[in-house]
Amino acid sequence: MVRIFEKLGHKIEFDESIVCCGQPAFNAGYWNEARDVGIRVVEKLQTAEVVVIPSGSCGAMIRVFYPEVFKNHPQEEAARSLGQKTYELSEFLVDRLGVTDLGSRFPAKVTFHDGCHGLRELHVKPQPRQLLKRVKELTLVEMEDQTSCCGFGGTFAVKFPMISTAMGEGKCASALETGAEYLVSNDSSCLMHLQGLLTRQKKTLKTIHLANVLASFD
Amino acid sequence: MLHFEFMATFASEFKRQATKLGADIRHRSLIQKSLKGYEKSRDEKKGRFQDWEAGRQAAAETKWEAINHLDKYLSEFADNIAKRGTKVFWASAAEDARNYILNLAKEKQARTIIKSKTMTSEEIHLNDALSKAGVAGLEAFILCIFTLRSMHRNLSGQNRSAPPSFA
Repeated sequence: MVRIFEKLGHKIEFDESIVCCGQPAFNAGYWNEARDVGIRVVEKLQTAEVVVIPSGSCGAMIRVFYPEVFKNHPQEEAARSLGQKTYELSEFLVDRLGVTDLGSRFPAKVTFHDGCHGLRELHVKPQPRQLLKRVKELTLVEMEDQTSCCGFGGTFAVKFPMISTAMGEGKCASALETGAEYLVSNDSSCLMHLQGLLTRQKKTLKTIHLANVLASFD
Repeated sequence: MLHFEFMATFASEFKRQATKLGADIRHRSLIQKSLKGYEKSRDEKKGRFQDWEAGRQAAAETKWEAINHLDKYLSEFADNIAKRGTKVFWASAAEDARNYILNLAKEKQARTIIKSKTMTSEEIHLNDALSKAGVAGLEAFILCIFTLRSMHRNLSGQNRSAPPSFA
């Protein structure tokens, strides 16, 4: 992501002390604990012009769920304004910067998986495809149930591993059917889950983040 | 039997079933197949609307109108089905409805009851009440059409000692 923004001439700041957005706690019902983690995010990112996240999941947490988490708390206003300047990577490139061609080259057949939070909360769907279509020597093949969940779901995978696995296997089967060499997504958590299953199935299909594909330029 | 006693252990029962069914590849492919069939049919139906969101809105308005004028529509409905030979019993609480059905079963010495699959019967805990009274409640829904046919033959048999069992 840094490579992409530097190529486009933007200045990047990355604060390593911001560890997590707090979503795992929030999803598990621990709103107070999620807020404790989120306070640091809200305060440290206050001065940023825009915040870009290579994950629809964390992006949705900040933009959609922070206003709920911080409602009637001192950081309510700061959380709301942070949400308004927060973008998922592909939507920032396409919608805010108007960039679809980064001069990338990725000679492979790929299929794209929409992460649930990016798709359903942030409504990101055409943007990654617009970007992938401009990547030289890349062939995008859509899988049959492209919008169905991969089954990860954060703590869901821990609480209901049997359902999570069954859903992931279904998703892997759809991706494998396309004959693609790479399974691309804009969410690392989905990719982690799916790569785990693919490796166990000894499949050669590899998962890769959209940012890695887009950053394939000289 | 169709009735499962898992109210108290719902979570552990859910996990047990999920583990069993999640590993059942045949079951999964059946579900996948029917889900895909459903989605295909849904998309075809959606395609028949110029504006399906407007269709949903119209349906929601009809439902809203009905719910807000139940005084009028319920009595109209009761009059109409009574004219077609249905007996209407007005219950003001779940217990009234359960008691009415249980008394009827007792009066007719019924051992098996076929009831339509409704959420109302779930809400009034009818299955539980029937099973406590020793009456087998059988849910009739469209998917069971063949079962129902054979059940009909079974029920008309003379010396039936036990209610037919259904998977």
